[in-house]
Amino acid sequence: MTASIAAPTRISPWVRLRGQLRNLAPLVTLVALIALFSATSPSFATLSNLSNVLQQVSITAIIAVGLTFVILCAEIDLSVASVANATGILVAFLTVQDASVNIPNLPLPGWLAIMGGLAGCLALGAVTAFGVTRIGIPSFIMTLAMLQIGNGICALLVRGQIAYSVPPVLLTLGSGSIGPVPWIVVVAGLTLLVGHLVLTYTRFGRYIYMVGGNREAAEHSGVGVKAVVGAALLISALCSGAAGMLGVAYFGSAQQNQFDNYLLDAISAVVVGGTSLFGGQGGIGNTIVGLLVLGVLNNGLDHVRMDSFLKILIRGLVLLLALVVNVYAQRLRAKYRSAGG
Amino acid sequence: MAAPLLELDGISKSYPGVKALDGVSLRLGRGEVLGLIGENGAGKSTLMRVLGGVVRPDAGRIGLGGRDRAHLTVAEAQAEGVAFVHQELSMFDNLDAAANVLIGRESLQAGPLRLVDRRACRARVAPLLQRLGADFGPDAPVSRLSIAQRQLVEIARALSVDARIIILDEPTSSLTLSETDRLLAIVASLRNAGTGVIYITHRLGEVVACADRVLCLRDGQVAGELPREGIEHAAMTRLMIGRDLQALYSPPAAAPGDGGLQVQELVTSAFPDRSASLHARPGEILGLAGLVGSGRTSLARAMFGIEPAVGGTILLDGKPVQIGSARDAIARGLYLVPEDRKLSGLVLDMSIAQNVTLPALAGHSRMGLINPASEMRAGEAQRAALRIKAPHASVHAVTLSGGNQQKVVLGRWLSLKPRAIVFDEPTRGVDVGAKGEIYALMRGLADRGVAVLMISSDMEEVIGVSDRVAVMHEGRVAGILGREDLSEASVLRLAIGAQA
Repeated sequence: MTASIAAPTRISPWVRLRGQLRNLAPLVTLVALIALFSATSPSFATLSNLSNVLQQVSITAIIAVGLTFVILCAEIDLSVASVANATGILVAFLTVQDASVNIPNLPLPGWLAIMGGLAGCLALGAVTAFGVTRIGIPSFIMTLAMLQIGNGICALLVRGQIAYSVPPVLLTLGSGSIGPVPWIVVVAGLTLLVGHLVLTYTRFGRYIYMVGGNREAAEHSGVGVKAVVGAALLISALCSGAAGMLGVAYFGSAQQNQFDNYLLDAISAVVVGGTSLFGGQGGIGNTIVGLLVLGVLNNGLDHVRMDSFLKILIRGLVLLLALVVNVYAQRLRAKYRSAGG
Repeated sequence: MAAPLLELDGISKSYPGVKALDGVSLRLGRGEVLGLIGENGAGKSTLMRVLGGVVRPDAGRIGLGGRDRAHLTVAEAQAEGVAFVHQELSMFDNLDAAANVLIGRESLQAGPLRLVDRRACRARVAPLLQRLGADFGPDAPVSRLSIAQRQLVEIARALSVDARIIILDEPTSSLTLSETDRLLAIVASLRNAGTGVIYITHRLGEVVACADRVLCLRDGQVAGELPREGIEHAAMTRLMIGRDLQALYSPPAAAPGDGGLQVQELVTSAFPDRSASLHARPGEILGLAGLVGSGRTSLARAMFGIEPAVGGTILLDGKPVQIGSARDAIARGLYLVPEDRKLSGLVLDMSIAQNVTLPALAGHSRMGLINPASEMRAGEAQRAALRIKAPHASVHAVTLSGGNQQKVVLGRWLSLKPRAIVFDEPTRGVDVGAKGEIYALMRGLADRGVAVLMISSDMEEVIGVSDRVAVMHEGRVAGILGREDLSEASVLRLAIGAQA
């Protein structure tokens, strides 16, 4: 019965290494970029510039945490920037504005305004979750609709105006700092940490990976797949809303379309970091690396005085490269699987 | 003797951990029908994939069309006139029969646009269909054809490319008796026209009826060959199994009790106008046989809440239960070991321990936080109890062989409190040694007082393992056979809907 005893398969270190391509490629990219910019620009590798980079990626980071949950479930959320924008504007709408700002707004005490903002983004997330899990609209299309709805809410609330005031707590968290460290970096770091702990150590985190890894097997094991996907979409909306409120304080104003770049930035950060677009692989660690790659690239290109118009193209090419690596890593994974049995 | 159409010599193919083919040789002459038999997983389909150019053998020689090669490409196989009629027909439902026959080789009109000339296409296909005795024309939409008629379309496709070798893979698995007879007549006429036919089937009666020679594979090797005059049931069974069917059977420790899993007039969405009833008693293994598509898997999915039933009642230990999701079923101790473990059973990128604790994660966590040590203990316990061949429970499920993967899915339920377990094709793609272990585990469960329902298309398994067998035909239970009435013939008769 020689055929019956499957010998424990030996997997060569090389194959194993290639199986780790997803995690290694972004890290190598990050180190290479840092080395490149440090060598070509004396102003890049300084402590104050490190603080710059971190500050520049903080809002993206908060959005990207929620997006990581969604992408790990093999879904997508295209409404993150729009929800952020709507939430930021909603908070401003609920805050007393300067007389020069001509918005028929509804001033509330600061903490109530913040609660209102959180309730707003959760409501949008709940609509998305309902559409995806109950009605069965693919998340790609559902969140595209939510993107437009969020933009519509923004337009209606500010009517082409710009609001400047937000509750004082948000002002501190968004633009203040403790000692040398900006509060926004601390908030982003805490969000990443909590996201990581939830994904790694909790039952819910395990369910996220299972739903992304094999949705049908998860269902066969009694996991409420719809509840998990819905929760991921809610978390994404909550993170977006928080980023939106802090962003308004960070920018010092609330207006339409001010978050437009963050959709692509957040998705890029997750994908560049190596979290699989097919779900089940990756995590917050990957997202952190992705954020740093994007942040260093953005910041470094300025330090070497790259033509700012060329910069846009370069960012596009980097994203394309990351997508190639992402899909290629998935294929290597499949090969590693078949090599393993 | 004239040079054979096809000569395979010493073909070997290994996959990690399994030798799928081990030095298999095969010869096929002009106008010869070769019956190819063997258990599931014996290597028949791998061998045919080598012949179709899909799988590249590790060693061996392929003599085809007067040339020797180490391997074939798909294009070479087609150019040499090798044609397949598959078990699961691959057709374009939205096109007519003629278009399906001539796919990629349509007649084109003269003129710069080179439009498809439908009339010419139909004129080419009509005589082929006539030759096969088809009762439909080339303009018949495939979506309206029965499975038997579709099969004729596939055979016509093979004829249209002047195939010299036609491979029929389980052609009758979904046919009625009279349709089978007609197909056998067509095989005979192909032979008389000089075509070489390889006929793969589980149904030994058909081999007796049509084959000139029989080749039997077992565990990737040629188990034996029978000449025309030696083709009879007993000899073939002996070659296929290499042991006595009844020897597989181990009797239950005690008489079955009351209660267990009972299904009354259950209606599934697959057969909305039929209902099925059956009763798996605690302490027994009830086999559920039937042809592919007879509604067995739908029934299992309905019982387990994956596709909730349209109507009917499910009783566990005599009490009616509402099952609207897998969660409900699991909460009541009713478990399913699904048909396709890679698709619906395992999360391949997770460890054995993580897969084992999947439905019971609440028991390994406190306030939502997973306790990795407790999880690993549970994984280790099942790894040891089920003798899963892996150094540690932290090994990823990806790296395990089919049999060991199946044990992981099983281990998941064994660590809970099962009252009834449904096994859907428990040993598909599982090697022979692990099969025996899985049978023993099923018997062990039954002896612990669990009601075991085993869905299987493997006749040896159904007859060899079950205490009783319920046979499904088109969505309803056509009959239930006790151990003493069990035979390949009695099960098949019910499965194909023949009147008793």
